[in-house]
Amino acid sequence: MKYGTLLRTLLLSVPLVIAGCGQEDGASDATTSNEVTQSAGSSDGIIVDVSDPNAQFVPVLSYRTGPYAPNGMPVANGFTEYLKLINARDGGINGVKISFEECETGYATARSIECYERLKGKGPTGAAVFNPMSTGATFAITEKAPVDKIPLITMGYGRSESRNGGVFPWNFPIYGTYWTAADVLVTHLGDINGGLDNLKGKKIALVYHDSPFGKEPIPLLEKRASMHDFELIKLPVTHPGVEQKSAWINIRKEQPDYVLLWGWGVMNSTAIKEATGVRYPRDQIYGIWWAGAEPDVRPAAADAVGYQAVSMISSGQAQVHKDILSYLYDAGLGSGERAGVGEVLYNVGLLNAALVVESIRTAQSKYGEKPLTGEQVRWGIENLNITEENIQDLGLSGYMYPVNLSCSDHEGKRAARLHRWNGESWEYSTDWISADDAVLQPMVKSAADTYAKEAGLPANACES
Amino acid sequence: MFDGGVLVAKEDLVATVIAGLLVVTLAIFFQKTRIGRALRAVADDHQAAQSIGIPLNYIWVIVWTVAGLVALVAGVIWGSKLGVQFSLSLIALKALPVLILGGFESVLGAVIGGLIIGAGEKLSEIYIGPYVGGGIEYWFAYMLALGFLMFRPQGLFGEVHIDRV
Amino acid sequence: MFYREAGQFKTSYKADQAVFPIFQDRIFVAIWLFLGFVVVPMLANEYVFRAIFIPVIIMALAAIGLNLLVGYCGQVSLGSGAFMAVGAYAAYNFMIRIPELNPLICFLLGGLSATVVGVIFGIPSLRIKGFYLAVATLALQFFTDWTFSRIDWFTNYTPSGSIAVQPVEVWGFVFDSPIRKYLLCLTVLVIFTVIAKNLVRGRIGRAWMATRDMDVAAEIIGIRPIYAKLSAFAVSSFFIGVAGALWAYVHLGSWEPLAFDINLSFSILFMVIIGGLGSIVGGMLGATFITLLPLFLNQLPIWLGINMSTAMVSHLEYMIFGGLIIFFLAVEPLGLARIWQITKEKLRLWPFPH
Repeated sequence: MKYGTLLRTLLLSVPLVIAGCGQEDGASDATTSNEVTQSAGSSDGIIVDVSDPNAQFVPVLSYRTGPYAPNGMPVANGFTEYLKLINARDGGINGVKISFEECETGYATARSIECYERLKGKGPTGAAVFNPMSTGATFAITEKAPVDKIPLITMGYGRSESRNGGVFPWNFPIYGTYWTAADVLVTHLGDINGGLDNLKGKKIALVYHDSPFGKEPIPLLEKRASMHDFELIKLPVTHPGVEQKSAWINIRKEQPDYVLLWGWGVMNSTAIKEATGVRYPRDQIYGIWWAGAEPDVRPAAADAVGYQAVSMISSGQAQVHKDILSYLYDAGLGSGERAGVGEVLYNVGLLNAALVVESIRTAQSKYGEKPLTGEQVRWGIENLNITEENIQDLGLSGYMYPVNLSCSDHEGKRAARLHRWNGESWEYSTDWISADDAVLQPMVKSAADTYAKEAGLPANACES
Repeated sequence: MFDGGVLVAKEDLVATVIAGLLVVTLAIFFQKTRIGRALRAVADDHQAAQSIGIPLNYIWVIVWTVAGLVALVAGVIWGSKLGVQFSLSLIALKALPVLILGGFESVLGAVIGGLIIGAGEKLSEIYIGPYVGGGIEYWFAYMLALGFLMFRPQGLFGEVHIDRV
Repeated sequence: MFYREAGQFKTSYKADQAVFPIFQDRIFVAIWLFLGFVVVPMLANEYVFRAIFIPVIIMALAAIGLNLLVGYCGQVSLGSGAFMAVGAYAAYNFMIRIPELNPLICFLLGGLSATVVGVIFGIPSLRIKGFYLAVATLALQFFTDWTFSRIDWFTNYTPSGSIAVQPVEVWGFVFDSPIRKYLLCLTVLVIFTVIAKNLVRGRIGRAWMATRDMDVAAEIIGIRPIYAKLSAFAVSSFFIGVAGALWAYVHLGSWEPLAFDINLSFSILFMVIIGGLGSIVGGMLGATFITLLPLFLNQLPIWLGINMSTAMVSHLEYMIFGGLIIFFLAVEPLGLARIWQITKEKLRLWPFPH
């Protein structure tokens, strides 16, 4: 046996290990909740074991590695910390504690599917609801969820036509889809030009991530372009989005009036830096809500001032954040840094978790206060009715909006605000802007009907 | 909105100067120093080099170190302008077409190859890209290398490789 | 003691040239087939099928295909992901546009489309070899990625570029349960393994091996390189194309262009290298190793009771994976197949040491 080579290989792998350890991104320290041990403070009752027969299992698909990690980590932190808070502060949902398990997907569809398969059967009644956190994974899991009878909440992403609950009974793109967001942006551009007709002859460039996520708004934008006679320039950026120079040189050549940024992960911060490099005014760049968060603008610091993005939720703190800081962080159970609590993507994760919790609560009102199956939770989501008073009671004032879904409308909200980076934080720069359903509804219907025909589903299960 | 015609960023100028200095250093290293000559001898024929007394293992260490240092400089320059993340490793893969274009044995070839590929990529994306939907720069470098391989495998400045049976 | 050939006399050339001349070998293979077709479907649960068996089987098919090209014919190819993509998209287009066709025929047609692409992109191999050919196939990989992402005809004009497919249905028999999918894949793998084994033992296989060992000498003794190399590309792409169609239809169910990117090509190449170049069994062993290792590494901290963040587990996976590949190549460059071969040789002498 070649002991000499063996020894040398082992010695050479030491730098690998050291290099690998250095790669760990920042202070992320989320734990898989399979063990009931923690580093400091008592975690009894906050972290619940997956095998607990009285706990409701919620799977968490997250990405804390890879090019999308800077944006994926705060979302996962917000999500898991809200679930932990419910266990700590309220003792669970009506006494039923929540157990969760994180699965690392790296934003890759194949790994998301593997995580889905691994987690869907865990817990006493299986997974309650899935939040794929990736449009690509949503497309894949949309095929499997109806078979496994587990609902999907795709808050602010996923298929735009899945708001049609008749064709997609298991998909819930609550608080907005990409068509809604794109429509809000176009409407805003119309507003600042004195009317949508004044967009005639203007050039709008779309710098998008070359994936299902980035391509989603294109049909809506093309429709609007033909309606209002503006030119849409499409500039795809390949994953992971680090090489964007040609897109921005193109922008310098074409000199569009506005640029819409549809990116995720490191693509966003690179885009803003490249925009600075070609001297494109940042206040003419508008991002999707996934491109409007702190990790995207902090690397560019002062250069990003003036950049605006449509927002589902902005940064800031409400009562629930104070609760998280006192119940979790003060007990040493926080996942990230204290300063991260209340940032944009953290609040997105928080909101997502709040929707999950409220859906389970609604479902429990019908099915009883015990761990529920996916099918029962689906009923809960569809019959969600969250009012402003509920939001106040939850401590989420200003960071959650009333939701009232129905079978045919799984989106709930068709309006959004824009927020602007001022170098220090995000502040709202516009009032509520509504998307135009007269434009969206026919598109949703035809896309959903096409899907129903291809999949052999009934075109409108809501009527039955 | 855009002041002036040509935009040259300060970071790009610094990067160019650093790259130029590095090329000159490497060229001197390979042409004038003993170790550089030893490296080129080993590249030519391992066994012949060993037979005249060049310590091969030591040479490997030097080669990997120098390569690592140059890559480090490249990473730092890129990172200082656009931020450092692990996905930068995908950009390093582009070094292969650059090598093929420039030829394996020449530092000047690597520089010229890099310039051709870098400029060619972006220009093709802007001028040819719109006609085919964009995203061309993803494969342009490799297709260019493929074309060179068909017609001039040794690259622009490399030595012709003769296979002896 | 158990593995001796004593008493096994062959009385005809045909018997002597059998693939498994030793009786114990035949029993061994029969046991594996029995385990695969009968025992596993009875015992395994859904997750094991979906996450372990089906990916391993499909990747084994792809690894065998690539082994024919890289291991037996010596042409380095980094374009396997592209061939799988061609197979998958071609199968999808045939199924969508000609609905009357049997899905299995569509898979084969997908493989044939991959063959055509493979022959075209194998033409550079007539001019260049080794590392240069690797770069040429890399060009193919990126170009195919872009083609399927940009040209909407391939994805049937879906706006998102993402494709979703229905379960495979053959004459009313729907392959929707994991057991059925598993048996379908296993059957395809067994058939294709038999084909591959026969090819490499025949005239074509010997031509490939001669080209790999010294292509100039092979040309001199009359083996035409154009036939040898392009046939290697063709057969290999066929295997990988069918594997791609299976991967898309049976395993993924829904995919986007990035599902077949360069990482998949590297994975399959690692499977071939670690499994053993130039060995059919090596392809299967490599596929098992590479597919199962990440899953194993993911679950290991949990089994050991170590509390670690998911990011740390993921990073450890990469580190250990890379370290193991280096370890393997340093300690046993001929791969797992060589380890298996040494085991068999030791077994023949057991309990004697030599």
